[in-house]
Amino acid sequence: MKPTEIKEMMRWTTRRKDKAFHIAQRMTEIEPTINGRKTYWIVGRVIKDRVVFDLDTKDKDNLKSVRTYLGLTTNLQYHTIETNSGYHLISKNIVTKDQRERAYLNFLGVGCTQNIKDWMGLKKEARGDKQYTRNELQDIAKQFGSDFRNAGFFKTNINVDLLFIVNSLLRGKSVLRISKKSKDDIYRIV
Amino acid sequence: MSFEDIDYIDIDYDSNTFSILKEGNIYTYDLTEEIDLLDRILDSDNVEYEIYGQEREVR
Repeated sequence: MKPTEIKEMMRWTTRRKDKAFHIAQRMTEIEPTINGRKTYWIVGRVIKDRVVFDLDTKDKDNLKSVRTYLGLTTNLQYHTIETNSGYHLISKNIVTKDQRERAYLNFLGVGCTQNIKDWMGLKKEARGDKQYTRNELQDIAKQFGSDFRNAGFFKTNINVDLLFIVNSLLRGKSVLRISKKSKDDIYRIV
Repeated sequence: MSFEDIDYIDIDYDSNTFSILKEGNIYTYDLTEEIDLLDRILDSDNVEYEIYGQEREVR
């Protein structure tokens, strides 16, 4: 597989950690810098048998609210991991595919996955065939949370990465970054 | 350059490096760029890794 082919695929999976880091490192090396920005290739660990949430804020009150809400809606125990910009919550329990999906849907307060699939389909249709740059796609991703709430899917005001949840739900797996952005990257159990 | 058939040689946790044999050359990479916490709290069976791109400012 050539680097250009990997780039077109955007995401690439392997069972070999050494190979994943090698590819990510080589890909990052050959990416051009444009206007002070470039694409960094990242290695993430795939998690299919646990329920995972991502919080993009260090707000401790928000963390407490999310944990309370998780207790009410998913009935699972969670590891809390502090990261550079927030927290990851990973269920201590190993769950089946159905339990995982039900936990996400209960958390989101949605009856079935099809509702979200239909809404995502409409959004995709509205965007049409336009080829978006990676920058534009990142802007769309940033807007996702408020669009999702405006569509009536998540009615609480707690701050949680909704795009991460929807991706986890629809892809059947969560991906957590394991390549550091810097030597002093924070990643610890709290 | 093809990424297929990279022959893994060794991971050296003492020096935090891993080495790869590729097309007759040995490449050594630093392992300190890796977060290994998840390996300690999650199961190690059937592990998969995903590589994906993210655009950000050059440091």
